[in-house]
Amino acid sequence: MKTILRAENICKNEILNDISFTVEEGEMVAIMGPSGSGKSTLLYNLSGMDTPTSGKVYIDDKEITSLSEKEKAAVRLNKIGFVFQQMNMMENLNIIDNILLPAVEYNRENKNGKKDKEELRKRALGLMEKLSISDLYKRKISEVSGGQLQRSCICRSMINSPIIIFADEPTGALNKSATKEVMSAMSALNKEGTTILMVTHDSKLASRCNRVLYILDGQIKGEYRFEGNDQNNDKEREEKLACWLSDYDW
Amino acid sequence: MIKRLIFNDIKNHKLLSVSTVLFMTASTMLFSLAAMLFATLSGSVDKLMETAACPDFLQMHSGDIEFEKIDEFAKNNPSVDDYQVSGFLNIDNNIIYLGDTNLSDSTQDNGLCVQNEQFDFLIDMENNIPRVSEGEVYVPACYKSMYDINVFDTMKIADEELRIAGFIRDSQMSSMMASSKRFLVNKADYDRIKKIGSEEYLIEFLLTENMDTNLFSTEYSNALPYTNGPQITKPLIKLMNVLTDGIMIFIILLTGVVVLLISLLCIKFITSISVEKDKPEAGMLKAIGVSDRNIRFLYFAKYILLSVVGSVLGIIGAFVIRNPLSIKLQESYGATNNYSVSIIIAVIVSAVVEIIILLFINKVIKSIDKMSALEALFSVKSGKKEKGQQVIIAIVIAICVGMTLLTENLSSTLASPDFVTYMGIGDAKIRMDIRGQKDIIGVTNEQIEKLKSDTNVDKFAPLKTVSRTVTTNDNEEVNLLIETGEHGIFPVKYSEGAYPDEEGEIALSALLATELSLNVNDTINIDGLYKVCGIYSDITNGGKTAKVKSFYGDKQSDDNVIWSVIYVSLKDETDVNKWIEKYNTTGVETININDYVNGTYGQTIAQIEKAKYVAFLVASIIIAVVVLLFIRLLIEKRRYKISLKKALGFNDSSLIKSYIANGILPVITGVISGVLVGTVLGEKICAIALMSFGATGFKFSIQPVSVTLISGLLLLISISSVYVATLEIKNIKAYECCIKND
Repeated sequence: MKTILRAENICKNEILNDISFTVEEGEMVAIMGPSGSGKSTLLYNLSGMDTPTSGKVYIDDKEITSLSEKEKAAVRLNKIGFVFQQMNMMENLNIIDNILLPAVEYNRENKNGKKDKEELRKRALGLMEKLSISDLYKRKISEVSGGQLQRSCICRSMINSPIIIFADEPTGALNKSATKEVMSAMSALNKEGTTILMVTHDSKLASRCNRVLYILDGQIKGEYRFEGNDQNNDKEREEKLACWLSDYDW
Repeated sequence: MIKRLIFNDIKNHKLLSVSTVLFMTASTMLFSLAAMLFATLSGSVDKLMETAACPDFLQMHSGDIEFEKIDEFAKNNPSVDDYQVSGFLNIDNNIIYLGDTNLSDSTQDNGLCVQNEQFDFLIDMENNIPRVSEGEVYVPACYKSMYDINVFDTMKIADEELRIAGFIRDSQMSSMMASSKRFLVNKADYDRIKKIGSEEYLIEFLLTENMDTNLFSTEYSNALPYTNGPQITKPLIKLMNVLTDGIMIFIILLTGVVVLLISLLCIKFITSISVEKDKPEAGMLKAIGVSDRNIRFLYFAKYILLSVVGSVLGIIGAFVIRNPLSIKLQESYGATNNYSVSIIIAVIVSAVVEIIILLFINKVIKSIDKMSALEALFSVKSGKKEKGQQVIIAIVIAICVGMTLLTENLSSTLASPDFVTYMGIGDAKIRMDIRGQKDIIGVTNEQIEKLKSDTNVDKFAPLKTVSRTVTTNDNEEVNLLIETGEHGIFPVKYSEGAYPDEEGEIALSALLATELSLNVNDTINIDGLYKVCGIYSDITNGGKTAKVKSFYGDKQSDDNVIWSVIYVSLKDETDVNKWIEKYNTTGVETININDYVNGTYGQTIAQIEKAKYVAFLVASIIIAVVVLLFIRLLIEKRRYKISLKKALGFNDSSLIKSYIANGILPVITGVISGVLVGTVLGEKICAIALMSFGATGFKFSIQPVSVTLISGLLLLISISSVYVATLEIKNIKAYECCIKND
């Protein structure tokens, strides 16, 4: 299996301390840990939004830590999708335009390899269909629920066919039913082969992943991998993860 | 998508967008208008002077002349290209009627002339050189609207009747600052009417290129005795032409600069508020990989569209306002409203103005570049902007109040009786001019005798102006106009020293003292040494004059007298108009000083008077818009806090009161600063500007009632705007804080 993300001895000031791990193609990995443990900082450093003080990050075998801001932006645009806790979207664009935004930027930056506008629109609608929000495409962002908006954000993160999606507390600002919608959406995408690395507090969402990394005081303290029958039984997976997390006073 | 983004952004932020366009429109409109009018004026003055073949040097003279002497001087002087002597038949204003209007009130020397053959042509309204038939007259174009006359109306000179065949533009005398006006008639009519008027001569020269007209003037005065009238040079003619109508353009331009500065301040603030608000959005765009350049474009594109709208509206506005303003230019100089050229000028100027504004906006938006995605995403809103907002309100109000008071003070100063003292005229009520007569000394003495025996006269001072050659410190010879007589009776304003009270003393005008590098107590050689006893303000005769009590040896004072003026003040109970009427019949031009000022600077005063009202109107609009906008923005920014306070039980009126109190502080600071700007600083600005025309020690003659009224009204408008803006608080609901976080 191909390695999509490789972190080597990542340090960031006093927050991250010598973190190394990999994410393989098709995996869905959750990073868990208490508040202030450095989860989000790790995510920002891995995605090129921030630069570690030492250590290296490879995405698709390309070292990104030494790249310029402009080059890092290109990596984020072409290879990474990002889902935020606060569901940041442009208030002056409707849902489908927001979803298409990275694609428009892709076309602007890749003049020779432009994607067909109609194709992109079809792809956006296809993604929305997959996440059951296709009827919202013309709505303003203020006219949809939190769950629908976060699913739209997931569609936006997928529009340029990234090799990995980073998600920062994707259900952190959602209610119970919206959390369920987003969890299902992310699981569905992963089942189709999308690699996902997410930071979450939500053990239910984490139990849908293949692997969970537990981080404390800027270091990975443990790793839990779901195996065998776990794949099919949500309840059982949640219990096993809870049992593992209890070792860390979760 | 960009289109939708821009239009939705504009739709969602109507107040900010409309305000931005408004500021852009106002700046563009004023600059385009000033540029179009300047281009029209400058181009048409040049064109008129070229078509009319305006002379480079002109000497007016009354009395006999020997044509051979002039011919000999012209032939022997290599600087002379061509010359001509044309007649100017000066007619008493009391016997001239244009239509039904008698010109007795006119302060101009009105006279007849025939069309010249070589140069200095009088041009008709179609820019042709008209040939006048017998019985016809062409009237100066500036009189058309002034006396409401038309072609086919009649002009009467005593019993002579002439039919008005058209109107003429005079390259030399179009400006109201020029003291004479020429009516064009047929040679036969001119010869017939000659007996009614007194003939003067215009001795005119076309000079070789690059010839210094001042040098030529000295050569002429040394060689020929025909100098008892004013000397005028081509640059002075152009200056007079441009100055009369240029002041209006200058004021428009000045207002444009003020409005642009205010616009830049406000637009900068509006943009920084938008940037602050859009930071998380920009952070998200950075996070998903959109390049800084493209992020900047997303936010900047809106302003490009707004600036296009602003400049189109500004250009339309400039065209609408230009038409009424350019009517006078068309009349006087034949300015043509060349639409294609005007559009090009307007587009270029508005593009420059918009580029300045856009560069300013770009600088604000560029602050996003400096932030990383994370900084932008999790940016903390600071209270710094709110303080900046209050400072901007205070600055804008200070500029507006200052601008209005400056024009008000300038207008009241120009209209005050004291102002004439800056013009080289003493503080008298009446002025009697004895010019263009054969025996100036005789007529003057005759008037003096009459005044001595007139019981209505309080005091009077006869002053004779003579032309003298002065040797400067650099051994150059310069011709000077020196006024002799008792200067202590109606003294002018002396910035240094005092008037000449003894023989051997001389007072110099400020410009002349500067040009000759002389100070009080220095000496100057005019057929003998004279000590400089004072320096005074004078904006007449090019600002370069001198005053002595008498020359060494009394007789010398009466040599070469060019004209004499008697200043008179009457006893309080005297009916000034009747007195003037009585003396006017004696053939000496007797006028009220106020009428003289009005005749010479009336147009300028009227324009500044108009500018005063325009400035008040513009200031009121700017203050209302800026205060409304900024207080509304402040309330919008604090919407959550206000909503929370309402939820906690605060009522509308207590919240409104607290915001009014908040808004009043910058308003009062602004008005107080504005009063200081308009009075103290404004006086200094005007003093510097007037110094270049020869007036020194300028002081405002402030009307406390007007200043208080204007400041009070602008304060009222400011406070009302604060109040109206705070009413928005009523529309904020208590529940808003529960559904949306700040």
